[in-house]
Amino acid sequence: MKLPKGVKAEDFNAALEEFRRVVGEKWLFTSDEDMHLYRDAYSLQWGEPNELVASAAVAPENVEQVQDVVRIANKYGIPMFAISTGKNLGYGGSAPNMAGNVIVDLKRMNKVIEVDDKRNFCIVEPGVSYFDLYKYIHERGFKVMMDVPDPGWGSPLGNAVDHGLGYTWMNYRDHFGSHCGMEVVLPDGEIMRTGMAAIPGSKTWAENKYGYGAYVDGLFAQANFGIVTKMGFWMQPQPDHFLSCVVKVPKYRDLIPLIDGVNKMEDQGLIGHPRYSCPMDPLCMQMEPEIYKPTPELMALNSRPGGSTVEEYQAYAEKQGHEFWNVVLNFYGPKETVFANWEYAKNTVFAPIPGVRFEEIENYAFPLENPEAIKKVRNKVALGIPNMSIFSIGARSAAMPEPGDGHAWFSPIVPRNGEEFIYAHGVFTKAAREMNITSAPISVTNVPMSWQYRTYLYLFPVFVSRSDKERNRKSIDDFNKLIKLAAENGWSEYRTAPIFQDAVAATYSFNNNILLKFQEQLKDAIDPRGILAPGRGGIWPKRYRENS
Amino acid sequence: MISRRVFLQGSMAMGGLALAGVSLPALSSAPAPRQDKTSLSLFSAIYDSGFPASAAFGAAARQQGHSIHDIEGDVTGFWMDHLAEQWQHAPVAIAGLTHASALFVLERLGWDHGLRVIFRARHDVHADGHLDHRLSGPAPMLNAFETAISQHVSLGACVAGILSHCHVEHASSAMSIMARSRPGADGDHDDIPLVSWVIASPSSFASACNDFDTVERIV
Repeated sequence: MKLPKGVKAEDFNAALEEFRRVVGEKWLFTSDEDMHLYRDAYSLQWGEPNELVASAAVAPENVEQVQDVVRIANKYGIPMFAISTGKNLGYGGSAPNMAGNVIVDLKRMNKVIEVDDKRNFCIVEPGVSYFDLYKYIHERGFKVMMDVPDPGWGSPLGNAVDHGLGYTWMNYRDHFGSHCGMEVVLPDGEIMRTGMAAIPGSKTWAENKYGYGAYVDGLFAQANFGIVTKMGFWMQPQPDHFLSCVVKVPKYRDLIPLIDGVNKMEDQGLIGHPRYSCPMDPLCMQMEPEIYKPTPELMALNSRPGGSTVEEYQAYAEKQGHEFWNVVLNFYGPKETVFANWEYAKNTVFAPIPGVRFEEIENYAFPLENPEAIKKVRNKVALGIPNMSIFSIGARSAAMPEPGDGHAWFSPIVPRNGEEFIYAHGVFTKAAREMNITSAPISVTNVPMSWQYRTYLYLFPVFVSRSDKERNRKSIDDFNKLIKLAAENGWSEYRTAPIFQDAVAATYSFNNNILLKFQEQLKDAIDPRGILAPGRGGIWPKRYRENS
Repeated sequence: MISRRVFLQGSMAMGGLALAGVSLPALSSAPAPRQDKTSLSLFSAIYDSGFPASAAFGAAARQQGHSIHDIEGDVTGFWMDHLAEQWQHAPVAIAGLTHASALFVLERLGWDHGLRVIFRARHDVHADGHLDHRLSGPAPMLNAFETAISQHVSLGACVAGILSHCHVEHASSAMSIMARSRPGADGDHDDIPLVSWVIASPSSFASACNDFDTVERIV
């Protein structure tokens, strides 16, 4: 067992004994085997001495037990790290920012408090998964549509407080942005509610975000100022109809007018999540292997660090009859209007791009209840249907033949602008060649990831190996260099695994990192003993800043 | 041809439990499971019809009287329609021969219900036609597997057959076997490694060695 830094064994043991009295013997976990379950399955430090492993875990059943646990932690100075369903693969899993933290596992708090399909919201506890909420909604016939990430075993609350993203309509797919009101246990064990939820007997908890006064909710996401125990979310009413279509453009630089057109569509509220693809891109081939298939020639082009040149990919695309880029547009609403909006997209928005092609993929009337029909939906997440199909991708993809052991996402925020994205291709492929990066598919075929509304992500996985620790060490080094490189160009990560959170937080460095210093001041005032998730979001409490 | 490397990983004497099922004839030379008062009830044998060996496992498991489910590449339907509710009420055992990602998901879902992987094997196909099997779990299952594979029983049938040997009165072990598969035993070779596994309550079992629970490259 790794004891948390700065905690005496007798204090730790005394705290465990008190935790046990609060939650019961069954819900306190201390064995190595149990701690294995809280490791980050995709850790680049897997099996290394500095792997971020927890010392113990405690699983409270209700908010009162959370309060008691936090008070005990305060009494003994025990650092704690709260998880909801604890998945978050690619961004750190269940692992804390500091070895030896006690995990506060909130899976037992799994109540759906309320769903309303007239005013379109829900209120949930942290242990509710997307699967749970979907089942709850469908068993009761509520006419609301969820917004889900890939995969669907996570928690709406947990995903939101890590700034997770989804696949439907603009504001709904920003999961923290679509939250409304929360209940939080503060580091001293007090319980607080925000926004309209702060009104006793509030009737608009999940409808008005601000209530009155300072808006503090942001302190509880990608940060460490409290443990969120309830959260409201705005939900999309179930549409009458769903139409999914694709726009294909032939040339590399067509990305510029393509993005301009998509922005025009989306910012008028005509489409949901635009899903970009490139038939030659390794990640696209991996995510949709039934559609995008590798050939030996393409594998050779993709095998070089940084991929091949635009000209080589362009020649390959033309030989194969592929477009260079495509974007799937998803329309939601009355049947007449979704088809009218598609006509507008074809005839007005994208028609000026030479060689553009249009295809209708699928359309469905709601409610979509037939299991066989649901099975055939190409992108279930676009209809808010949680699933785990993303885990079968590796098994089916020939695009990345070497078996891997997970990944860490590199995911800087970039502008929704084709010229800038093409510039980013140049920056990252050059870096990949110079740094000889072979553990990540970096190429001029990389597509904008458009889950965030109003910005894109330049996202690629950095693959993990359980057997090649040297490769992992190089990947960590490469990742840190890429973080700096992105920042030099005005970009930085939206989300990252704990081992990179300090580096990412440091890039938000305007005026001598005043943003981080401000958060540290708040941390020291609100959590003077520094017990809640030390280091999360790059925010370290005084006790660990001084010892660093 | 068969070569064997066995190394003992632990020594936990445990009460014997057996999965309900009928042994295949080729498995009859393996040490017979003791007839125990308690047998582990298997909720379902999971297969993926997209992989010939896995499909063969499903067919063989069905022949043995097990309830079977085809995940067709994705565990979602099985989870949503069957397993989630079942495990909420009673965390019962399941077994499978699937791609590694399906096990990765089911293992973690099982953790939330106090279940663990108590038998785990990875079956890698080599270009020369050899199958490389790495197994860990109850010794009787490993021994039964070795016996069957040496008699060129197809992988699917072999894995289905050893379910009846899920019986852990002996030490929990790990073994690595390199074996040539019988040509056409499971139809075409699957070009990705498959894994076979049993997920059950750990109260009576040692968890299977986790050293090779690599996941497929996934996003």
